[in-house]
Amino acid sequence: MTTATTLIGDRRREALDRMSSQRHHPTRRADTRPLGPPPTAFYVIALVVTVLIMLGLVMVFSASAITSLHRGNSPWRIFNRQLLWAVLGGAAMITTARVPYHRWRRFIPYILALACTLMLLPFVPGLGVSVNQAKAWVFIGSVGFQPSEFLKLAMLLYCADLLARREKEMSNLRRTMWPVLAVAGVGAALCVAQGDLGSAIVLSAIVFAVAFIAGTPMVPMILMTIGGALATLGFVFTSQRRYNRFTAFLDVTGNKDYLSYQVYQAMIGMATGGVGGTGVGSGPSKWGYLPLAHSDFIFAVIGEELGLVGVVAVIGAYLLLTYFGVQVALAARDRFGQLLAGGIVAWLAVQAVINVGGVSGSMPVTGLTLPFVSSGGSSLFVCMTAAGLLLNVARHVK
Amino acid sequence: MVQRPVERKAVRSRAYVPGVFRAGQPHRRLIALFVLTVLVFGAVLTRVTILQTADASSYTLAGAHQRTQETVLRASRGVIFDRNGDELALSVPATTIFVNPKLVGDPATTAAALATMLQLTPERQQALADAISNKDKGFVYVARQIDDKTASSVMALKLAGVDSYPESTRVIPGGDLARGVIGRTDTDGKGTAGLEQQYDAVLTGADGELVRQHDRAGRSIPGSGTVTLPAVPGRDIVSTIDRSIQFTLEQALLARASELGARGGTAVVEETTTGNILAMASVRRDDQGVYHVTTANVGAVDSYEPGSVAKVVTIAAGLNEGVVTPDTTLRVAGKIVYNSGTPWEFTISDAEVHATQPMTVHEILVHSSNIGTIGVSEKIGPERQYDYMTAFGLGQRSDLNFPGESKGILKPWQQWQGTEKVTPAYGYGVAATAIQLIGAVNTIANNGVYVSPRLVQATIDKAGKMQPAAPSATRVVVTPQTAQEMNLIMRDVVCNGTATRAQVDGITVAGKTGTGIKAIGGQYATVAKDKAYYSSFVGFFPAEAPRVTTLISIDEPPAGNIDRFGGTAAAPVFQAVVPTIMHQLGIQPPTTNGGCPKK
Repeated sequence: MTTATTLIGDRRREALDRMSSQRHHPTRRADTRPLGPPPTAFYVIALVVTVLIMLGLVMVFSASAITSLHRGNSPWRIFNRQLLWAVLGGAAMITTARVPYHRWRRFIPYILALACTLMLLPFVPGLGVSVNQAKAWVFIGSVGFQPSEFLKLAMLLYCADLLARREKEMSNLRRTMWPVLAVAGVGAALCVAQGDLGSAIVLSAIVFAVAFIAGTPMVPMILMTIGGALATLGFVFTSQRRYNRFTAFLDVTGNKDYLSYQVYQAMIGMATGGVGGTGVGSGPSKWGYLPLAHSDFIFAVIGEELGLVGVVAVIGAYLLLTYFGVQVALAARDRFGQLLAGGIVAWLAVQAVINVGGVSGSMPVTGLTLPFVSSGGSSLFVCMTAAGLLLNVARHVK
Repeated sequence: MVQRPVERKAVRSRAYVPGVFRAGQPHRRLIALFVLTVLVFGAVLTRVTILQTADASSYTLAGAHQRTQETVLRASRGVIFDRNGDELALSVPATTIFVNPKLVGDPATTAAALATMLQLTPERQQALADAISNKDKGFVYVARQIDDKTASSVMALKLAGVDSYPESTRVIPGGDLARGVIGRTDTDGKGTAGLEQQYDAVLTGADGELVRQHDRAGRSIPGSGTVTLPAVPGRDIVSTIDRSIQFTLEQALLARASELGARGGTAVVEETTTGNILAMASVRRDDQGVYHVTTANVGAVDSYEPGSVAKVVTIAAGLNEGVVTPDTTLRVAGKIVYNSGTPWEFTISDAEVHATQPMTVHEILVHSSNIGTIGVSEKIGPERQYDYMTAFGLGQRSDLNFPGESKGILKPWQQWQGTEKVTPAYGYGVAATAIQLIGAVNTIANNGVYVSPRLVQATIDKAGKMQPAAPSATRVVVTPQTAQEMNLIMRDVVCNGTATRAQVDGITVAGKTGTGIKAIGGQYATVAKDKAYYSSFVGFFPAEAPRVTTLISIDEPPAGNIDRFGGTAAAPVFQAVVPTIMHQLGIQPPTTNGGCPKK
């Protein structure tokens, strides 16, 4: 009896395992299926991303030429580097857009491990370089990149994979929330260790967004959010310097000479642009007044040279991306695709909002790039890779 | 043993009982996320829209302000030329050095270095160090308008916080020459005295402005418009002063005043027909007993009792009114006592002691008889006496309109009390400036026509075009015949009267001396050696066709000796300067037998 029971139980368990393995990899069979024509969302996302990248190239050139020249370099230097990364990113984007997204799942632990290892590189003497008081950069020769950008993508993949697999256990916090929280905590801690609070916030936001979409119960979700916010505030408030920097946005004009110098200059730039803008190339801010005009503060240059029209267009582009990204997530063929698409959309939206909010003096400045637009190779590359993944999910919707 | 796992199981399961925490719906969550994103983007967009529209102006202004530099282009101040085009005063480039205390690390060292370079006094160095220590200020002058070479050597030290800017300085190439007439400017280039003040509006140009856009490092932004409003330089003025005559006159006055030990001296040289002041000088002894050209234009701003020079006016009035002729004989007493036996007893006597005797009007003037002049004055009466004095320019500011010019003292005749009714006739109880007095005598020289004096004959605009000033106003005071009669009498004053020391070989001089007694503390001194004199000679030449009228006054010549009189103290100065005047103006005697008739 006991044996029979055991046999029956074994058979049942085997059957469940088979089913669950099919559930884990529901698309494996679909690989062989011929794909239909891509949905509208695919084209819109591809178009929006392409337009943003091209606008970014133009604005980066406009914003960086003078600075480059005055530093004794070719005025094309930063533009050329951005163009190179755009080409590399384009290759990555095409790759991720063409390779069915679930194929990456088996590599996710390795990707995460690699990303975490890369995060330690800035601390290696000779490789790590401090830029803008953050030890977030690695330079190999003259090519520099920010490992935290790769960590964002790796973290997103990991969380989406984990929470996709544990779909039935979403109310079991120990099986779903805590692992995600632990990974997010490690990632955020690595970013903070580099002195890059902005990346830590975005990283946490990505993880929270994936957990949120995956269906983590509301009460723990809220508690987790409050906890994360408190941790951030606690980190900020324990240092007078961080506190001053963080709260400077509350009185930009009062801090215009030091703490909020860049934001004040950005606001001057955008105000100078007015509705119609000064025209590409003719904004005065980049003449040394806005030191990071081509990277973190590119949005100010857009506001200055393209005016409110350009601002509405760029924010509209992100909203379009968000809308169609959410459509893709809603229509995703499986849960991993859904979480992946939702996470990517949340990532791009959060990073864009924090950047634009910081530049316009509505939020603290955290040193984040404007996705697809800002100068910054690793950011552009990783964002394009993520866009490719989103496109691939879009390609495979139900 | 059996219950334990059950309990543990129960505890464990309670935490994960479905329904306590229910998993959310991904679809709803995604839509919620999208809505949240739209709201946040909407808020940020609203903020940026307000910034770019409603709030734009103040930020735009701040932006324009930080990249716009406005440089004031200083207009150069006009030059003051003499009548021959030689510069009397001009502006030259210089450098002003200042310190921004906020940028100075060590005030004491900086002050010491500056003091060494600029040869500052220890007190000045200490004051400078104190000023630099005050970090509230962003600007402290170190030295203004120093020469460019010194400034560049100071700037070469590259002291932190020390900087300079160009600023022109006013230079009078002649040193003290005509300083009273030219006046001065303050350190900001504004005229504060003399012609510099009087013609400040003419000399001062309109500052220009250079507006440019620059980057944060100060480099001009190419393509941004540079707006230049050019500075309009001030106009030059051509004064009537003749530098050589001025110099000669000043030197002669200095020499004569120091020779006599006088308090000072004043002199004016006027072109007879035009009223142009060719020279106007005054010298004064300082506390150390050294004589200097004064900074004040004493000839215009100070008035004195003219004494006997005023007799010219009285006698001319008498002749012009027809009450006397030069040959009319009057009985002239040696002295007259007014209000005898009263507290107001006042004795008038002639300088040359004599008994009551007959004198012609000619002799009265030649020998400068006070009592004779009173006789003539009494014939015309105080009202006409006053009218003539006014017509000759006394008691009113001249058209020179010099800053601080005095109008002298001449009470209306109705207010003349007691002896005041007679003393104005011979130059007491009235006060006149040198300009008024020379104007009065010049009327005789100019055939009875009063000419207003003037110091500026033209202005030159920035295009170099000269615009002559309006000719001096003129008015007929006495008939040509009267003027001619006076001319002849005054020649005799020089040849045979009180002004023999004004004679110049080969040229006929007409003139009149005057020896005023200065009232000290409202009283005339009675003891001879305590008396303070104001001794003058006013003459014109060549008397046959007068070209130049000259006034020389010596202030407080020695009271006790013969040199106290106008004819002795002042006339020699006239004698000394006439050759230069003749040379400068190219005056040749109109007749071959000029000078006094040979006896």
